[in-house]
Amino acid sequence: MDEQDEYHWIEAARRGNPRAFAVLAEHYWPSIHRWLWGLTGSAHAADDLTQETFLKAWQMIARTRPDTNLRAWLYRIARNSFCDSHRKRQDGQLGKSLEGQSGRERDPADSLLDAEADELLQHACERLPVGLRAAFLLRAQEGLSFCEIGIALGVAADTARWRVFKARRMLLKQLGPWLEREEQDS
Amino acid sequence: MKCAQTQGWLLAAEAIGEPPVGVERHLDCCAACRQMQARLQRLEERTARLPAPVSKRSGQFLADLLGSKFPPSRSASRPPAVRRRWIMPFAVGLLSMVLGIIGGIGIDRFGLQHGSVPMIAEGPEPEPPRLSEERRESSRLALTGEALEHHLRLAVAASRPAKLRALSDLGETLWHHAKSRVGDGPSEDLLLVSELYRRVVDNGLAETAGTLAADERRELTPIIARLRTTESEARHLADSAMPATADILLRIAASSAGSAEILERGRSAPPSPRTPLAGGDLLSAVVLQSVHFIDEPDPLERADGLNDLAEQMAQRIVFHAARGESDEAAFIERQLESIFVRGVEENLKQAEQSDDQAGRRTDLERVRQRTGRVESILERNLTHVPERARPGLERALQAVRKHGAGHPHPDRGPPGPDFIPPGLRKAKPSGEEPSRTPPGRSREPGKVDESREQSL
Repeated sequence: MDEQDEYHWIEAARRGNPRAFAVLAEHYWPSIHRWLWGLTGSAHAADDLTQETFLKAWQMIARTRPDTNLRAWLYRIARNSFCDSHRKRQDGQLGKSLEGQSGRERDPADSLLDAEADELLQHACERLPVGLRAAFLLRAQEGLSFCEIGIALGVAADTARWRVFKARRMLLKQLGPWLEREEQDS
Repeated sequence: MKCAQTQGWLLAAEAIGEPPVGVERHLDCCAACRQMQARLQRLEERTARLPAPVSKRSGQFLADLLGSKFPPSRSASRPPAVRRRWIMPFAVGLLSMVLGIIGGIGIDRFGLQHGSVPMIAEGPEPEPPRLSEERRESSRLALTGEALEHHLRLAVAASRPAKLRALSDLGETLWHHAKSRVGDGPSEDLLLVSELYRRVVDNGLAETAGTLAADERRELTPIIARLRTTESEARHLADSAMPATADILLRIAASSAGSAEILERGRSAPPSPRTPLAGGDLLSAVVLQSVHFIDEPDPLERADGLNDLAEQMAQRIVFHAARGESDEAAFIERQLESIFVRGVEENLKQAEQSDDQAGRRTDLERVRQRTGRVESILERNLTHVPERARPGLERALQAVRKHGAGHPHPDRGPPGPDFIPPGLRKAKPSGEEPSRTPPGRSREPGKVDESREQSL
């Protein structure tokens, strides 16, 4: 979908056209779902949150401005839905999780040597604090600019850059031996 | 450029594969940094290709949407209302002010407490959260790093067009930062950055553009286009901003438009008054020095100015280290090294190569020796910062020793005043002057070093 098409569909959706919104939802659904899966680690939870994201977006799209960055806005809704669900589960502690708590605890040490590269990388990402993981996945997987990541996560673009910086540094450190081995093999 | 700067750039880059010229040059000759770049690229490419489960819910959702099972958009039946994005922050600000006054609490303090609460919005397009102090500091540091990058390009640029390009890039960076702050309302940060932008545009670009030779004028075309874009973006943003923010944006637009017009005519603007800025932070120092350097032809003066900047940075390193903010300290530490390597050393080289420097050996030596003051600031605080911050400070000290004037020199001159981070200052009895004797120099064995007692 090029920029012009997207603008056309957004305008139509803002006027209440469900077909136009369906086009947008179909386009962005896989990306939002993948990102939420990266944050939650559960396909089921990601499904729920993605649906919630698009439902909220549909209900609110008429209140957006014509120049709203739809992609960043959708990630922002997804982020809020994720925070809400986590808050409910963890008695209101989730807001902090986007700031600094570590993600799911899975010690990859045992499986590192034999794991497939993807699995290894997946585990390394999971070990990142969730705030850093959210920013890194938006950059590496979804290709958002730092400015868009800032909008999505509700932080300044420079803070988004800072988080990606830290995430990359941690990943390089964690995956250093594996990267080295891979280089030797190739 | 050294490995530390290159690797810092790679880690923080938006597009790892598109390094700027300085980084690229270093990558061409450094296998370790090239390896890091390749690793980061592989890491991101592989992350992008990571398999993810396919969602089974989208089909059902779309069917429900098209079958009108979901309630329509809340405002779809009405014409879109003109959104007043500033009303909520304004109301919150007003409430904060009233509560702050009643409770005897400073507004800023209250605002920070409010900002530190995690923002979990009910609606899907919440107002941007107010930045906490920590985030504001990180963001300001990152901006300072970017500003310094342009500043150092300007400080060693050989031609006037190259200097103007670097200054224009600096203005652009400031404008991007200001844009990202518009949603916060009329914050101090926005005010400062917009004022710095105006200095760059009014005092830097507009006042010096007329000095270009006729064949250099074509370099102005992209700068003019950029100013016009900024003008239009600022006016557009001002339309939907709260009044106080709109005023700031309109001043930015006016500066951009005025300077673009002057550059188009090919004449320099008359010098405008340069009132001092409130708050002497690092960012202001970098930007104002850039504006000053645009018409500073003497490399020795530039090297001296960069030494001033290095001193301020050393103080910031100690400040962050003392607060246990090792990432921030490390960040500035890298910038400090850049200043010595790319700024001071380069300018001293230019000064040495210049023909008319023969009679200025003493000046040259004096500037070279000034790095001792930076070393002194770091040295004196080394034993006073928390244990975990010490390695960072030691690294900074090593960098200064490596790239500065070398080891302590008896003729280095008096060290600068002790830097004591705010909040760690101890009240001194009135009338007592702090000792300026540097530790380990004229102190008698067994005596308590008062200057050490007072720093940190």
